[in-house]
Amino acid sequence: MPLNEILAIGMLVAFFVFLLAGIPVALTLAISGFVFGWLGFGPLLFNLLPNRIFGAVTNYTLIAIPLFVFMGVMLEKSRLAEDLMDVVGLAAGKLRGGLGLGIILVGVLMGATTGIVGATVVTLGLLTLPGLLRRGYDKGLACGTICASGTLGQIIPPSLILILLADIMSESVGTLFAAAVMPGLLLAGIYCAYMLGLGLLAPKMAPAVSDAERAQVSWSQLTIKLLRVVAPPLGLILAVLGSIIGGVAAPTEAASMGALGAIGVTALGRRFSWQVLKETVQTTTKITAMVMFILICAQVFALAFRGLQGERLVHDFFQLLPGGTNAAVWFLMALIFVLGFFIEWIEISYIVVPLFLPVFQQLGVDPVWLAMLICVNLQTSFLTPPFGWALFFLRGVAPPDIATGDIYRGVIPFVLMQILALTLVFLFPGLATWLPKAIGW
Amino acid sequence: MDARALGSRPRVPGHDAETGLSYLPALQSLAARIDTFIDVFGRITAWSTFALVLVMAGNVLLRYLFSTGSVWSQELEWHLMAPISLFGISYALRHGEHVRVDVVYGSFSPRKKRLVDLISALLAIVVSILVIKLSWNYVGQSWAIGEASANPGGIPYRYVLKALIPIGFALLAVQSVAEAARALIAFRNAA
Repeated sequence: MPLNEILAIGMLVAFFVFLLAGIPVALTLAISGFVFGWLGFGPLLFNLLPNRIFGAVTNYTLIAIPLFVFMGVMLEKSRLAEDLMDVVGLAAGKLRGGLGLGIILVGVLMGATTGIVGATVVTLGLLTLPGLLRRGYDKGLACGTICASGTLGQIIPPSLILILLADIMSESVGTLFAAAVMPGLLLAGIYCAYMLGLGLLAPKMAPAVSDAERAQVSWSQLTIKLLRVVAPPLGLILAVLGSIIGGVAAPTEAASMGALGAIGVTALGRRFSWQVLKETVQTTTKITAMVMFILICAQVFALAFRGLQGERLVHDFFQLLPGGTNAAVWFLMALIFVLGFFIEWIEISYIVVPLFLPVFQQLGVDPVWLAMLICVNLQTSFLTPPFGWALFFLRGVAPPDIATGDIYRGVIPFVLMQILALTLVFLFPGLATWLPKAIGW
Repeated sequence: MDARALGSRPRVPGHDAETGLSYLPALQSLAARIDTFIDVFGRITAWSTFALVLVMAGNVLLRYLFSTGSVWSQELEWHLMAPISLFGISYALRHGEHVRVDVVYGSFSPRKKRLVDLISALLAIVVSILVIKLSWNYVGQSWAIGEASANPGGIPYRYVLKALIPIGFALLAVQSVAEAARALIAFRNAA
């Protein structure tokens, strides 16, 4: 085996060792890239780096990141989730499993508006978990529903993951946004069916809200609340997404209007203040810089990996796999699923996807379809114990009588449903590719 | 709601590390001063995101409503993105925002955790120095010719924009010194 290939493998191993030791993700990328690139090539390899960094921090597509984060944080501060839950929970409460249905629905809406998994899980957990338990919902079911619904934000556009994948896979953001609509709704639909099924078959796990409680709030009050607080942000997000998916405006452009509109919506709800704006810009800057720092350091890693002929290594490896294209796709899916137990979507999108992308391009796999398979698969990485992101956030806000085991037990059915959705997208690629084609992307 | 809930994972500790006794007080006050400096810098930088929203939205409105716009104002969009990305790195570090995998780290003893923090901070300093060194010529050449935008009517300060790379990483190195100092103090105290 040539020295360079050994170095390429060494670099991957070193990367995972540093990563598991708890060194911040960006630094593990930069250090393993620098050390092994240097060993293989000497310093000349990295002369391209400044230009790559400059390219990353001035990339037009990526400007959508701070803009969408700004919009999400601002809407989050307008306490959209609280209002949505009030309305939806009461409206759906008379059905067995109705509250759970409401949470899924709010998860979808929050996914489309803020798209911030942590915030959605924390908010849903704080708002709904005590109420669900008080009304006799099964602990595991309540936790699983909140985690899975909160995680929908990462597949329902707009989401950071879709913007980054578009950049990595050289697809337009609009295409991936359009492609993600159906798989996202498919997931939500499966969750809803499960919830309704439980309501029928195991009503003790998901009881209805009592009539006495529902009678406390009149329909007219609900309607007024719906129109005043819930309609404006929903209108905003429909306009933003509609103009992107419909091809009227570039994602970056629509994101800026969305950010401006979010300020308007927050002001309309009388929740805008100097302090809110200050907190929003600061949070936006931190999240954006965190993502961009990983992107910058990934340049070091990519330069070194390419320099060390790592791409050929991956290619040769796939040649060893029997079964052709489908086997390659399933291998990638299995790998992402397993890695999802330990690392999260950021590392997977930046490391695993670029490593394997050239192979799949050569095999002629539809990149949009592949991106959606990856996206649906990454949903599991938020939920798989012991270190799923959503679990961690829910743990932080769950009442003390919820054991970590309840949360783990509760997410298992949802992980299985995610695998079901993944299989469906695999068997019916049209789920991902039909909408972008129909619109003419 | 704090940034913790807004899309990132368990923070890299350090900013809130137990400072303990007044052991190595000089180091401690140095770290505190650096924190303040980076915070001021970061808070000012943060307004770039609001400026970005306004500039981008303004350009969009001008284009769609009046079919007009300028190269200058369009270039301003990514001239605002660069400082958010580059200056934001040290600010995010100051607030422990950079994500890490804590599958194993979480089970370390406090002393071992601080050791990993110390190593992380030192590695960040090494990476910063390497990037500054690598970008030195790249930026120097740009300054020597006073590189401007390649587009007619563009912003004539491309050389300044490129200089943000070494400046951003110098800030990261400075904040990493503070993180290293705090990790060292906590490491000694956890003994």
